[in-house]
Amino acid sequence: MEQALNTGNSLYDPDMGAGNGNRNMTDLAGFLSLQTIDGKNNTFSISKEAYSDTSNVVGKTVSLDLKGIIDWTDLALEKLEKVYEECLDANWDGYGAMPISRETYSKARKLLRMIPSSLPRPDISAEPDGEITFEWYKEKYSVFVISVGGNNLITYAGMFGKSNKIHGTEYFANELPEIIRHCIRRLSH
Amino acid sequence: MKVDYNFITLVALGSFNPAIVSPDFLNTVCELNLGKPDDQSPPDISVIRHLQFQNLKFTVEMNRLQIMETGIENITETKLLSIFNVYYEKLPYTPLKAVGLNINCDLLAEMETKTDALTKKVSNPTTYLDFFDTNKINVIESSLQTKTDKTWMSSNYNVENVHGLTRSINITQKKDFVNLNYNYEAGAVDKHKSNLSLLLDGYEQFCDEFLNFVKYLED
Repeated sequence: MEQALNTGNSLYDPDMGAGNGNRNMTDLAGFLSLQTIDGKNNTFSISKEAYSDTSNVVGKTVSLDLKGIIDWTDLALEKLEKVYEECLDANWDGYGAMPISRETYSKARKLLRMIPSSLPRPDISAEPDGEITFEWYKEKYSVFVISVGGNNLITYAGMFGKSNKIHGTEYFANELPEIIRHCIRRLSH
Repeated sequence: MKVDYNFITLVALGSFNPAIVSPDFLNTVCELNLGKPDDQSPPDISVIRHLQFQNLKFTVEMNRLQIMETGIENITETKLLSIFNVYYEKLPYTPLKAVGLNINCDLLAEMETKTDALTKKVSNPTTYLDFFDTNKINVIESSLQTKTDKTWMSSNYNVENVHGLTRSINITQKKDFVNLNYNYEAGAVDKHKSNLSLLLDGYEQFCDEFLNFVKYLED
């Protein structure tokens, strides 16, 4: 049982191979997903689900995060939460930036969950106007950026080569707008 | 207090064949009419299957099936139970060990002082002993302890045999809100099939209990 609480015990070793994510077998989520809590079954589900497998590599136990490979959503949600926490207060950049509101964070999270994980994972950052930005950067002149605020509007801009540019605004409710999906796919091909 | 729903999941433990759960199986055999998937894992990975249809995500592993619904406005209107019922009807010999449902949400107090009061309440085991009117709960707490101070970070409260099922409540402190995962689970389904009916038929009651719990935290 003590292992479950031992969140500081880092079994993760970045040199032990790709795909092991930043979680380990001993964190609470990983422990619960092993289906035992005091020897009982457990169908617990938390946002940071760990679908972990263990392999013994040269005597060291490393965690292979299968879920992270198949679906990056949880990893991206963790990053989003970090950005939110860092930019929660006004002037977070030292130049008078607006804080990220709870509403913006909530919409960004909703939007992130709509992005199919077969598409590339975006870089997540905050804008000085209090919006949250998802960016897909392939190379110079090949980039697509969307930003979301407290309303259900996505502002997007993209470059697909030197002369192909696109920008606009889209409303989203329960589905990722087709134009956004198309642009991310266009970039990844 | 504002309740911001993240997702509802139905999790089944047992033995599953991820290769079976294809868009065709869900649409044609189960007649769920989910349409074309927005996303799916490579079919050549046979040990795990991931499918996404708008706000529904299916993840099937050899020993775990999870169906997640996001974009929840009203928890009583979830499609998860009917989906699982059809799935189990089509594959009735699936060896199940346990089935559980999770409601995951963020609780936001209106003012900072109320956030502190909320944190104090959710981190206190007495809250759960009183709410479930029980003498015993299992608690797993995570906190940061210095020589002079203790900062609570998260807790898991496990309550057995609440109307025949287990409750497992996970509360995590975030920057300006708390995250709540409220789980109810039917265990030993392989030995006592009636436990599964208790869970599937009792969802409305469970929703009432959940909403009462949130209200109880508010008071």
